[in-house]
Amino acid sequence: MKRLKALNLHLALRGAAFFLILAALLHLLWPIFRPKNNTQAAGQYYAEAHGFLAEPEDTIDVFFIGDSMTYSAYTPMEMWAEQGFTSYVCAIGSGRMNYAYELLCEIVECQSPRVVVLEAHVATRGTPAKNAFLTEATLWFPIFRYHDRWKSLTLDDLTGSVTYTNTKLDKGFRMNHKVGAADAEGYMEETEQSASVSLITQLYLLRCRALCAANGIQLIVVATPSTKNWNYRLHNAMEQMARNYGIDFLDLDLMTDEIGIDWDTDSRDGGDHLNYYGASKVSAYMSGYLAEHYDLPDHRGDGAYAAWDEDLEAYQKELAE
Amino acid sequence: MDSYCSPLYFAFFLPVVVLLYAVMPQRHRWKVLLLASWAFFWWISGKLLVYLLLSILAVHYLGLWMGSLLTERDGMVRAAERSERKAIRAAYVGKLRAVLAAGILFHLGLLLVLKYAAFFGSNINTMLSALGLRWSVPELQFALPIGISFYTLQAVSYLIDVYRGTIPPDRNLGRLALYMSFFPALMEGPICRYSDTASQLLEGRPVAWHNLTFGIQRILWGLTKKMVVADRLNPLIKEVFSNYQNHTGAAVALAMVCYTCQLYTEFSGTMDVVIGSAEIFGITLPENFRQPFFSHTISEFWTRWHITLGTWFRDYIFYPVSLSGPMKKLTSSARKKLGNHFGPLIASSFALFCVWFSNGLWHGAGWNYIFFGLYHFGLILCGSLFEPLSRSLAGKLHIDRQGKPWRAWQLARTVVLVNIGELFFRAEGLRAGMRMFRRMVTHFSLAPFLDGRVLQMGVDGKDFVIVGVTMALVLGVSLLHERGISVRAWVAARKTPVRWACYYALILFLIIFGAYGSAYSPVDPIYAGF
Amino acid sequence: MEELYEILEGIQPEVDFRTAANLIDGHLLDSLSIISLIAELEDTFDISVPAVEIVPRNFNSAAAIWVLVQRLQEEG
Repeated sequence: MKRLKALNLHLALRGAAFFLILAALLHLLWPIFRPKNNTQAAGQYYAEAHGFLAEPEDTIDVFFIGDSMTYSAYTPMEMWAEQGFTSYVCAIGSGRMNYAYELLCEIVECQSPRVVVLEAHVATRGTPAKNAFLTEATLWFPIFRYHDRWKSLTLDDLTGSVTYTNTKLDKGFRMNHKVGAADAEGYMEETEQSASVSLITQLYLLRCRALCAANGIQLIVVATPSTKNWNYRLHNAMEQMARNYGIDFLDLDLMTDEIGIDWDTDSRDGGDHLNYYGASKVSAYMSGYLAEHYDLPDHRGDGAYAAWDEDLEAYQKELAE
Repeated sequence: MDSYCSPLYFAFFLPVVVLLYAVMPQRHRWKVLLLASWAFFWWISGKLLVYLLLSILAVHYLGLWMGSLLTERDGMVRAAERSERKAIRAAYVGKLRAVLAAGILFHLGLLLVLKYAAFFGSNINTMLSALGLRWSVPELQFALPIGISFYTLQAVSYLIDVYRGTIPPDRNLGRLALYMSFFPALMEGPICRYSDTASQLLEGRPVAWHNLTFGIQRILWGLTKKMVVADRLNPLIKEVFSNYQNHTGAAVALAMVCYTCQLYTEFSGTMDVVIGSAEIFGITLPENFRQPFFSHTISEFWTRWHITLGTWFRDYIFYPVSLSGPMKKLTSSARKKLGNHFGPLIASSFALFCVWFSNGLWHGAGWNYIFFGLYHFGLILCGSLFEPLSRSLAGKLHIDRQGKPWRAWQLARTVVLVNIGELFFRAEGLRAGMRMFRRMVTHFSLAPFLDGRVLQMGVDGKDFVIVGVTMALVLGVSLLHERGISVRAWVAARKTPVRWACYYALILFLIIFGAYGSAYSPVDPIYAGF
Repeated sequence: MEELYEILEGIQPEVDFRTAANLIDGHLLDSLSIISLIAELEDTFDISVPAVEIVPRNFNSAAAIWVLVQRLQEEG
């Protein structure tokens, strides 16, 4: 029996040593595989959501994390013009909660925002287990997310340092002027029914909450107006989760009148996403709401933030075209 | 959990089951496996679990019934005079056959209805309308429980073996249930035989270090084949097979070869994961592959590819049909007229036809699958018909049929014939398969290879290099296996640094070159669909 | 026994049946040859080979086949 125990201990130690060395190897490989810039050409995963990496450290006050609805609806430059806080949109098409969490982890590495706005559509939709596994592996060893970089490795990757040059003029917002009228018939019709939210999604929501709390960030879940992607069943589900988990929840779909959304002109694709006109209205409302309810600074006139004023000029020029 | 190659299986489900299994006392371990198997089934097919449970009960009680008939018969035979024995035996044959038939009809009937109702319905309707009749039968679509094509065959082989008296009926419902639903083999086989597998399932052997490490290695090797080759080639295969009319014959040929590689690495890789999983529990499942591309003839190919299906059809269709009373009569009269080579061929080719028709149909309700089966039937039959001619021709031309050049020619010929078969197997319908084949012959142009278009079909040059390297690795391992050298045993016999270096190399290879992540859409488990 | 060798060589001239012990497992006899073989055996030795008996154990070598033939003759 004693010998058996000694044997088991020996094997356990061997197993542990094996995995420690494997972990070390994966960490050693990461500097090689790591994209050396936050551009798509350099291999940055979802480069359009990673412009914030090129912003000076600790300069962004608010992050919007979400999916295509999010990058269509919030324009940081107009919020800067209105309220003077800095913000950034980190959103990817059909984003899931696992990736929202991954983004949040990347954000708190280099920025210390006061508020994170999370898209309710993401927080209520399912998260495939496959995605979750990749996220978990990536959080331990980022090489899992970037393993495909073997295709573009060069000698520079062995020695090179990381420099981020990809700043987005629109700070993650994607401007679109197309108009596709939405049929708002039955939109947000009240019901007692509630949608069910997958367990994995809820787990990531809780982890976002914990990460925000640990970093002194206020987390607010916001439902962006959309006749196609949002309804009262989802509202009820989100409302319930927000109450259970003690998370702020704001449903802009219930406030379209106050915001002034006109579904004939403010969507680009029949109510699926907002266009620029809708985004402008939503951003005006949201910036006021955030400034009023959360303690956000006003950096306008601060020399350290002069770049934002320059960006605003360029943005307005872009608008005029 | 959609396949054995998804992380949900190998990184979550399997480790949890192994852990539960290991901490259970030995005599309860089989219960862990059984509950895990049903959970696995439930996870994928939900309430359709009822079908599996029904099958288990049917098999169990019909087996017991046949068993009691057999004991009764043997008792009476022993007590009776020698002269009466034959009559007693004959009296029981009818009863036994009726029970067996009930069992087989129940299982095949269920399979036919669930899997083929829509296919038969639509073909009957086509025929009716071609005859100018206005009637139509409903084309019913049923939800198919996972693995039904596999566990049905296991059920039937169990019943036939009990009927034949080669195995005693199982009085232990739990063991029989586990034999029918053991989760590693549930979805894609290997198709187990009761006599090989069942007794191991109940033993609850401890998770031994050797089994654990060997099992994990085999799983890793399977994942490498599946994720590096099969998944990486998927975009090209999907593109060419669904839009073949936009591609030249050379591209179709490339897609055909890629598909054969994909099918082999996907299926044999999954089998490595499956057999490796069972190995962790100390359970040896039958092998399904034995270096199929080293076959000299199509007939040999089928003893090396999807082995458990081939032996199933051989033992339960081919021999029984060709040795049945009427066939034996036919054989003995044909031999007198045609000699001993061609005489027996009449009966055996009929049996062979039954085998290959069933084989094709088993793969799915589609004419392309039936064609696939009959294509192989034709090839095997031709091989046998021309054997005397080929032998005498070789003799006249002084070709040494055991010599290397002849063997190499045979290998190449078999590979090409198999590839053509797989083209029809994968094609989206028989007509598409025919058109693709014609295109390959008539529109053969190397242009896409010369101007680089071939690299723009979702698989770029670097992908091809990695696939090539991996296939070379697979070939190397196959060569070693063909010589009877076990790579895992070789590695295990090295000193720790060398051994671990091998493991790390394989793991890193898989992590870096596996086609996973948002840039890829992996191929669905091919055989789970059958 | 010599009769048996003659039958076997008539079916597969390229195999040395006096030494080979893996006729089935080594794929020296495929299933079609087995049917020819059984037809010959049944005629020559006046036996009947049921499908149940066709297992590698009974057909892997000439000696094994001979044992099978004798057993079936006795049972006959």
